[in-house]
Amino acid sequence: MSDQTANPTNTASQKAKEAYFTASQRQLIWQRFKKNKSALFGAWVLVILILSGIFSPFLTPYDPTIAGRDKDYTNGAPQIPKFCDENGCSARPFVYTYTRERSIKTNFRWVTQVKTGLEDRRYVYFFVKGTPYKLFGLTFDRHLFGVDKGQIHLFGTDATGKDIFSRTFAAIKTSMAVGTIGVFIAFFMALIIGGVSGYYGGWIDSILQMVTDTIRTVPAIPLFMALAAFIPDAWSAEMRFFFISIILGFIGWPTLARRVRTHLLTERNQEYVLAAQLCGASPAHIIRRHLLPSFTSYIIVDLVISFPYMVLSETALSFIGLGLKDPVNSLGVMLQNVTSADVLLNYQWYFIPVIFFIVLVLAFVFVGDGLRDAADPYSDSKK
Amino acid sequence: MLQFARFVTTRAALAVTTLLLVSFIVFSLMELVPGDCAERYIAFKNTQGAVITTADIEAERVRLGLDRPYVERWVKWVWNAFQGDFGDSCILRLNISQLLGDKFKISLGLSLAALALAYAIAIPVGVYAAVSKNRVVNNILRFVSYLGLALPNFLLALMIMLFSTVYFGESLTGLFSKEFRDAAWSWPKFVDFLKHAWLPIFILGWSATAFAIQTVRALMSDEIGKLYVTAAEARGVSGRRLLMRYPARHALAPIINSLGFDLNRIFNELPVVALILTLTEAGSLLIDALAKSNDQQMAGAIIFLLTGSIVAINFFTDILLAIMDPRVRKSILR
Amino acid sequence: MTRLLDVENLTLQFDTDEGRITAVDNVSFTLEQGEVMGLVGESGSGKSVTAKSLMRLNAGNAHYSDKTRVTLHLEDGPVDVMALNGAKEMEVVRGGAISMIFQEPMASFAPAITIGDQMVEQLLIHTDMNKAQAREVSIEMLNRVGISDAAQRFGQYAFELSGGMRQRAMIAMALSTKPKLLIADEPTTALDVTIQAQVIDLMKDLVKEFHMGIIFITHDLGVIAQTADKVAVMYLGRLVEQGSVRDVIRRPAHPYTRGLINALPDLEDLEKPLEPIPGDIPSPLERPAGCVFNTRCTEKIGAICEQNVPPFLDVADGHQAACLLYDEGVEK
Repeated sequence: MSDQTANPTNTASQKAKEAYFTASQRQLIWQRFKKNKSALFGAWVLVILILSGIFSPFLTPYDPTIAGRDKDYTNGAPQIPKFCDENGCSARPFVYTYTRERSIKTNFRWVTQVKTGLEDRRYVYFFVKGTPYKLFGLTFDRHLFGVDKGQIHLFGTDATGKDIFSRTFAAIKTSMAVGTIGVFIAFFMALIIGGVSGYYGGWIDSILQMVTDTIRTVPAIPLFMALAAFIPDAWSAEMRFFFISIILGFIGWPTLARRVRTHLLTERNQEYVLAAQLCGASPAHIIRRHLLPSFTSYIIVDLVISFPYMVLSETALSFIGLGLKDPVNSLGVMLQNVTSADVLLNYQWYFIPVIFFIVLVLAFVFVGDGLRDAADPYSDSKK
Repeated sequence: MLQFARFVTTRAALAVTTLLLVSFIVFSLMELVPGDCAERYIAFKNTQGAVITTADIEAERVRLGLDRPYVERWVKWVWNAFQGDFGDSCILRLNISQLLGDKFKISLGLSLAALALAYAIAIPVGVYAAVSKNRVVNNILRFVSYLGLALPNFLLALMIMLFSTVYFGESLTGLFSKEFRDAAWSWPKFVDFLKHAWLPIFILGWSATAFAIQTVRALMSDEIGKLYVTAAEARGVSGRRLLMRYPARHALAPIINSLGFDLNRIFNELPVVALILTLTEAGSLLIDALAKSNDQQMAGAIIFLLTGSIVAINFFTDILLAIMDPRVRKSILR
Repeated sequence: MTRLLDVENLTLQFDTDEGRITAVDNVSFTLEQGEVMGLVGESGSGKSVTAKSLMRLNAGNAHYSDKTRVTLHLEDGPVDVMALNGAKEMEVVRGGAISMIFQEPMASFAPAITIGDQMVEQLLIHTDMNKAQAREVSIEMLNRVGISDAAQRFGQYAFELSGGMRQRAMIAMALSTKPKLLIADEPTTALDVTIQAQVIDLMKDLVKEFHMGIIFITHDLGVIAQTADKVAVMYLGRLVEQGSVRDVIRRPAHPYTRGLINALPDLEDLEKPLEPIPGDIPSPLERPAGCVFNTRCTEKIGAICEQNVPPFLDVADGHQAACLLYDEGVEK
């Protein structure tokens, strides 16, 4: 080829170049993604949160529903495990016992007393046996941590005594599940409608576009408030769950469909498609090997970016009371009672789950942005 | 001039068609919901203690015209809707337009104000961000826009409520002070309204601002990289004139295009923000009616009004774009 | 002829994510008034960047070395372009003493502003005409470049003109301020051949009339042969050969130039296979040590080419090449 001298550095760099040219699309995207520190960080956070959601029954000590509530400690403040106090230190962390009493002295209001005596310590143990739960179809009863007497509430409890720590992670799991289903529904609808619209063009496209645009114009949440108000109370929590997911999917598809359609329309007329046709490639082959890879990365990016909107929409609906309900648990459900002055003044720990959700959404946004930059080979020039 | 009038008419026809389509979808959805107006009314009466028979329900149906064919009812509803008459609410039996009138105007006012605020902030900030090479500025702005995406309006509203209650001992709720709540509109009432309204406008505009900053910045960045800007610079055009006349002017078009969609997003967040700020207690909002009423007629009317606003804005922005963009203008006037 | 432009040791580096890239390396040349110089090279050779440096039009992450000197000899005296600070001071040069026309005429005009508005704007910046005078001058200029219905075209937008007309309009706009130096960055590349010929003829006429200097950037040797008086050949940011058009094209001295000319199809012998230059142009991140062309040179002497950067050596009168082949002290 060229009269390059047999230089070791030459062959090494030659190999690197070849590796670059023959790498698959996925590898290339991953390489670029890795360079983006904030996106990588976001990805790690996301993975941790998702895993903690999936394994939440193990990680958290108690059942997040009303069945697992601690009647003795309603509206209780968060309990931070300590190692040392005035009675000495211990290798094992502990929290204090609390009792509730009501008497004439306290005007018949429940008052919580914290006992800090040595015998009132509740030691934290790991891998304790607790309430059984199902994970991947199998039943387990070991939890990551627990106390020897009574219960431990790292994030405090709500008005009925439900442990907020357990509920937070269960809520992450629920919201992710709802979001995933919603995103998939939106994706499939978008693929079908956008795909047909973009591939055939012409009057089919015009009609479908009109319909899509019309649906996009209607503000989704007010519409679903109107609809959700009519869901019969008789529906089980699971049915509500699926209904909400489906609704969310229906909210998301018009924007995605538009992207698919626009992309198909432009790509369909590109010269590389013509070149493939001239080589004798069948339509199926063209779609599979040429068209699809050209926009798969964009679609994936769109899906990742639309995920947080799904989660937030569900939160908004549940918050109003028109979404999920107990025993199904999500951030919106947890926030339902948060606006009363009582809570705002006295029980600020109700807001702890909000931090988790902000982090979750931010992680999604970082990852989505990072993916988008990584997937677009021309994005470097736009910096 | 004639062609322009023709263009406007076509756009208007398109808008009306969209609204018709929307009304059709909304109306159908209302029909699909179990239980019609007659049943609801009777059920309502039932909870009041009256004893109802099936015959009563049937009679009520006929009275409301619910036994007429679907298409006929739809046409009648749409026809009236365009004239601002939405009939009576199912349960309360009060004229919807009267119930909604004020509330809708306030909601629309707040939303438009929020949108205006969003762009008033986003355009200068976005332009500056696109031009500035300062890494610190860029990172701050990226962070702010991410925060705006991650912290939706209602979460923000919640946090604000939390802080204001804990630190100030009062919550900034309500749209009017007690004296003005039910009074007729007057200048003092308007001032009072403004004093209270700044918070909802700020909160509503929050996400929209974050989004708009991103959009403006991206558009400006794209335009600045284009050849005509370099060419202008090569001709000696510089400074603010270079920025405003060349990339900014051309980045404006997509922004104007997106205004309708921005309003859509704000409407989406309105209900929850309203709920949180308990704007519903006083000078209440639209959404209260929507959430609490369980009332098809009301729901349909509200959705129609909201969508109608968006369609109207889209119509106006289309016309505005046609005037601004010479390519479109010329092709119309040919 | 009077000296118009002195470029000495122009070195330009860009700060990128991958590091500092040298785009132009120690380029020096001169230009007389009324002279047409062709700047030839492949994509990535640094010719556009060199030309833009004359007006400091490069992006903010560009760094000029301390030894760089660009001196423009104007009627009022010499102007040291590198010493100018800020856009206001650059105004004298940009669009005033130096004008530039670009490859894509469609992309060079702002889409939503009329041609006339843009032309008038430039005149208002550089002269003290008022709007009405500027308008007249612009229309006259449009006429001069051969656009019919100039007054009507004045009020039109770029998308309403055909490709050739746009290019002419751009030339008209560039020349309306009567610049001393015109930089033409591949002005004919995007045009079809017949229009190309018209535009070249136009430029030749204007040179004579306005007595301007032109730097004509292109990769098309044929256009250079027709239009230029002298030629400078660039490779990977370095100037490798300079001389009159006749000399360089008839008797190319530098192996790269020889390679370029040999690569042209031979009209006499249509069966003859094409002779490309072997190898690929290295990435600017991996500039070869020593002579910048040594990795592809078929006439390479040996290791000496990798170790030494060849200086400009005389080949003939007014004809120089940066190649050790012409260094009498070197053993071949």
